[in-house]
Amino acid sequence: MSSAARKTTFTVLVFFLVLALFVLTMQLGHVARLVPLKVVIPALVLVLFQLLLDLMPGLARRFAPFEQVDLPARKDIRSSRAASLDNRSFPQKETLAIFWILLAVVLIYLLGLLIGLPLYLFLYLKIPARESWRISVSTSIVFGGLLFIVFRLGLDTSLHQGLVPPLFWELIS
Amino acid sequence: MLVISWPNILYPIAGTLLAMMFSILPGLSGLTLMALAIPFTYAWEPLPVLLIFGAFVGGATFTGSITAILFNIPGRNSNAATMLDGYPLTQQGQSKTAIGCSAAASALGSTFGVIVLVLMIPLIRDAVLLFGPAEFLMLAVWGLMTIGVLARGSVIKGLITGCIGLLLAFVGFDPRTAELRYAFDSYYLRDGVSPVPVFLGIFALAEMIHLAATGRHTISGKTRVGELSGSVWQGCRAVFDNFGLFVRSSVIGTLVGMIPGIGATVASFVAYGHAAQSAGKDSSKFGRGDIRGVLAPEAANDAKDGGSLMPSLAFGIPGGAGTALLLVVLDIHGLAPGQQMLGDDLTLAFVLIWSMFISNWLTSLIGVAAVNPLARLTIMRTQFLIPIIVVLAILGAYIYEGRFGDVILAFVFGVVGYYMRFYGWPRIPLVVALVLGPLFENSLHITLKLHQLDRIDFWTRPITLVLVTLCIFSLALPSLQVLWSRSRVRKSDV
Repeated sequence: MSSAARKTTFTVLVFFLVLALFVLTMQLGHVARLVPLKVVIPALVLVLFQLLLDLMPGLARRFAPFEQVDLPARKDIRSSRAASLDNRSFPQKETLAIFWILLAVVLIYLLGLLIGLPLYLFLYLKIPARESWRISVSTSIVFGGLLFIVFRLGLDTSLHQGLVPPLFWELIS
Repeated sequence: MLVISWPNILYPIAGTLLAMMFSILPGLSGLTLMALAIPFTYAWEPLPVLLIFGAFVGGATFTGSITAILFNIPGRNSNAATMLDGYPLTQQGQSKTAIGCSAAASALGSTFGVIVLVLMIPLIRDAVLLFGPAEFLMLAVWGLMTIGVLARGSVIKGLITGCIGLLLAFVGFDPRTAELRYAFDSYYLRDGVSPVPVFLGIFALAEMIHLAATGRHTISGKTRVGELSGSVWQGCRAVFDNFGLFVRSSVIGTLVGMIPGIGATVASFVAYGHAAQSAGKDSSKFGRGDIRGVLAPEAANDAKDGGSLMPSLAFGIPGGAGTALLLVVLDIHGLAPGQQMLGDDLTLAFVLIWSMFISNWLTSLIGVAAVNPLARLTIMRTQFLIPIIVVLAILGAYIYEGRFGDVILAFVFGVVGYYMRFYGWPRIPLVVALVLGPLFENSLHITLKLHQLDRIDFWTRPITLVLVTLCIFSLALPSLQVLWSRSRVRKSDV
């Protein structure tokens, strides 16, 4: 997919989001929707206009005087963006980066903060960062220890326990 | 003398160090520390309590700026404005300059706020009583108008994201009818969307995705300390080179801080917007590493501390969350704001003020002393820093209110924020609108109701009219400047 097509796809997604918010707003009571309606209708008009600008470059150039960045600077932004999109490994790196953060969320959900976060740290340092075993393990242990001492012992904060550890303790007991 | 005498001076020093340690972690803040410290100080005398809590108020602000500048993680909402130009400066290898400027602007801004506070104590009552719902509404609108300035590159996209931010602020119960809006029967969304996880996701996590995807070797693009340009003294000097801007930003911070319920975020963003506007033709670097973009919000952020104490000490009306907690502390120790605080206990009021002042200077000096170790973080391999920052951001999102939903929210906005950055959709208007949305809606409802009941005439209130003029000026000026400069270029070509 070309860079222009991806840019337009994002605008289309924003349009559907605002449209969905408009539909939800109309389902509210008369008083509750008073202020949100005054916000969502202009948003809908603006996003439709933005979609037109994305689909019709000629129209976008006519509205350039109202944009606050000089045209040469916009060219630089566009060319660097296009260059990164043309790099085939870039979308893969992008997806991978998002995957790793999602993994952190999943690990915390399943194993809790005290186990999930140090485990995520270890896995990231070992696999994509390719650090040595010593650095990966020691960083994870130090971080996990600090987490426990500061939040659990020091502040007596209740940390998310996850799904697996409570089941595990139940099985053992 | 009471504050700097031995052993009283130990309290502001200890309070400052504690506040700095707390606020370096995203999601934690001086507010958390104040709340935790209350039970430990029940049995203390009023003097040490005021010394330490004054330090808590003053010590937390600057540290949040350090993480904003170095890692694009705002320690608090109010540090987000510093991030706009602070982080680009770090990416250019000028983190020392940014931190130096932030430290100097913070210390001097707080000095300005304290001086104004001390001079205005006799005049406080009349000033604060002039602000009503209509003025709050126009202040919120003025804050939202900065969207027009902050959405550099695309005003239309900025307005769209600002509207989305406002709609996000409306998630939860309607303030008038208690009807649930946009909650999808979710218990999590009933309480509304918290700004902190959104900030952490849309800036910190989005930036980490960007760093990982682009394969940038270090945050600064440099691999050795010697390659880093700029210096602390260059940053400090920038405050004096732009002294007019510093004074104006401090005035904005002090005035906004005086108004109850507005908060530091409005002060810092309004000051940033003003800095960008007042730069005129020389504003092209804003958002890409202009030192004035660090100076203005930092000065306003710390000047606000002095301003926010005014309504608190005079009437017991909190200027923000920090002063609200402070009032709780005063109450516990038998200190009443108002006549007692400004009369019989005036000495204690000044203890609080000077403790806050000393704390602001201490944090700036410590920050400057630590700038070299901090700058080293910008030459560390990003592949080592990324998981640490992700972990800190996720931890910050969870710790804020202890809800796993905040972690998911931070992740979602991390992905959204990354693609917004990639496709040139401004993120700042979304977060500004999210923070100002409740104030805007509540003030609008009250103002309209009072207007219907003929209890208020919007157009005869002088402060409201001044704010309306400022709003129109804020929105129109950038476009007029561009049209004016283009017409001058065409004339010179001819």
